[in-house]
Amino acid sequence: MTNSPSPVVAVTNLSVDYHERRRWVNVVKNVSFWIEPGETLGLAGESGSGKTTTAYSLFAYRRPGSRIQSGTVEFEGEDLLALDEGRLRRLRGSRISMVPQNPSSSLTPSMRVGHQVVEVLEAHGVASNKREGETRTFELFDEVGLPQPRAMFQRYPHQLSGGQQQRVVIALALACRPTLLVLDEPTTALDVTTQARILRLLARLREEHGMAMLYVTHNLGVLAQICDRVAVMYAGELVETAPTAELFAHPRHPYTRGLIAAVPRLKEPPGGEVQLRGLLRRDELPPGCRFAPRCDFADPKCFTLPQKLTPAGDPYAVACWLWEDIASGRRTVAESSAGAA
Amino acid sequence: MTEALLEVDNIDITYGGRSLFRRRPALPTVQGASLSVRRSETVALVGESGSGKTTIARVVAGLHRPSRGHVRFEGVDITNLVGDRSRSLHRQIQYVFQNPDASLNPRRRVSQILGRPLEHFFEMRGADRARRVEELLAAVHLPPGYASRFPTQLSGGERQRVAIARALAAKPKLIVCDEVVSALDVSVQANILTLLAEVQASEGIAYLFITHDLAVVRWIAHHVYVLYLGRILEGGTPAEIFAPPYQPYTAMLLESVPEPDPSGPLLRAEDPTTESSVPPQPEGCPFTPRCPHRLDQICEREPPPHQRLGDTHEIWCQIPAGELARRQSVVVS
Repeated sequence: MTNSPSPVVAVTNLSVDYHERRRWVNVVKNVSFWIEPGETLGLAGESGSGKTTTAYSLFAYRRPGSRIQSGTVEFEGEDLLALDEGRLRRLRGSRISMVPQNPSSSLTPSMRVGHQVVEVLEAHGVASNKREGETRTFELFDEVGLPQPRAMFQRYPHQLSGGQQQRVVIALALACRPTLLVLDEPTTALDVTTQARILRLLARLREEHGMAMLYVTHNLGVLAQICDRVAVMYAGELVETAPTAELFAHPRHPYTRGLIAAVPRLKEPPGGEVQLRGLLRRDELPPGCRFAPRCDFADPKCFTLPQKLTPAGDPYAVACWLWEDIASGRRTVAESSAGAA
Repeated sequence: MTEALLEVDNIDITYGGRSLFRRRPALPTVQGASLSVRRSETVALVGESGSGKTTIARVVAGLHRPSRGHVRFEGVDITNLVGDRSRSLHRQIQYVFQNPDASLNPRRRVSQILGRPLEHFFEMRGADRARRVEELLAAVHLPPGYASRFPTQLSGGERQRVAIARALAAKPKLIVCDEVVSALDVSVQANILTLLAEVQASEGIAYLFITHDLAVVRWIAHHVYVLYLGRILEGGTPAEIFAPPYQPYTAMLLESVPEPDPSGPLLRAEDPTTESSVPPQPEGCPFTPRCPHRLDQICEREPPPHQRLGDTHEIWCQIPAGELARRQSVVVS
């Protein structure tokens, strides 16, 4: 797993718990992945899969009431989980930065958007004075495709459209030329046409700056457009990782197949043979494969046999002991005990 | 189209208007929109934020009065406001909204949420009502035990199922679905769309389905209208809408769909030349600033002419459909 040439970030055996109703509940379990320089990794999963918690671990950010049970997050050779707050604060927003889902809540409503960017530039010492900060902000606004950067500088967030707000947030994230950009559902709240433009912008920026990205979303259709590799997460565990083209051509894990089938598409009806049924219920996870209760291929053994991400032909990995039988068609939906919805 | 259930006939909708602070009446949010929904049919209204799709739904709901034109339900004029509508009309048109968190009272149990329309419209009480609540939960595939839960104890998809069950409680003829799946995970979206289709098949309900995503309506709509900044620019069956010639805005919507296919057209498509969302002239085609095919001096000034391409297919565009077909490549193969 870690034989790649010096990755930008490498997460190893990360486990995170949340404190809920007076006990610790595990939300991320033994997650390991890495991102190479200039690479975009997609992290896919439904609500409650632990994808956002995993993404925030790249900042060593701990939500109040959460604890990192084990694991390391190595960024440029240092374990972020072992750093003190002061060091982390200098890294966050400069070397590693974030674009969250809702642009309107990540901008200060009472401050002109230009000043918000200047503030970041000054805080991280990229700009030594106001003049320099302003010039740099105009450049950034131009880079993220905001029309009339000088006029934009003076606007308040509410005077911008959702797509324009998200461009300002991306400008903020890029202000210090990070080596790693974490995007958490950055286009989910936007129209499809705006989403398409933001995706084209990100593809261009990645080309120009060669930064690494982690793109988190529930929509595999979005990841197909922008990622080099995709990691699929279910109930806190990674269930499959594969290069993007391979993942969509030959998904190995039944959950991945379901997630792909669920994407609304123009060419064929959604669902098809493998519609995802049921819901992710964290309180009803079996001791074996966590996806077994929703899996159409599940065998009684699946419910008791824990699954671990294992190589499935380099560089793919999958956490399903039946994947070869499913891929070859030896195992079909009909013969399984839990099949037929 | 005699059997139209809902008919929106050439309406203009204007917010604001002449006031102490505004001399001239405001420009209409929706201009000359006409559409019709037949019984047991799904009609999709597709457009991005600001297109006026929710505004049209508000007029259907009687929350806003159009400044011109009429809305008819089963041939009867219902352009009046909600307070003037009969209880039976209220019952026959129901609504499901984007965010079930906001539309379900968090302090009422599911049984109360579903029981209220039963009491209001059918005077159902006691055991009858409880039985019907159970039936409604079964219709949206929720276990009967959910009757005693609060909305906060449900997932987003489950809450949206409760919202649909509440609409069904009234035994409506039409449900207006305003972005009902856009706040949900894609896996849950597919389930809700399947559920809506199922309910339609068994109860014969018509839907006016509002969304910004063409892919969502591809497989559930019988007829699609594409709306941009208050003007309908294309109407037709999905087979017509999803094949060339495309109205140029429809083409942009199609290219924007992130399909689960790494070789899709999304990243190859060109960004529009300008982001301006203000039509240069109120009469002109509102899509002109973003249109790759725009004709200078014409599109921005003249209203886009109506072109009928078939019994059900129509576009509004200056460029003749044959010419559009020649310029465009197939987006959906």
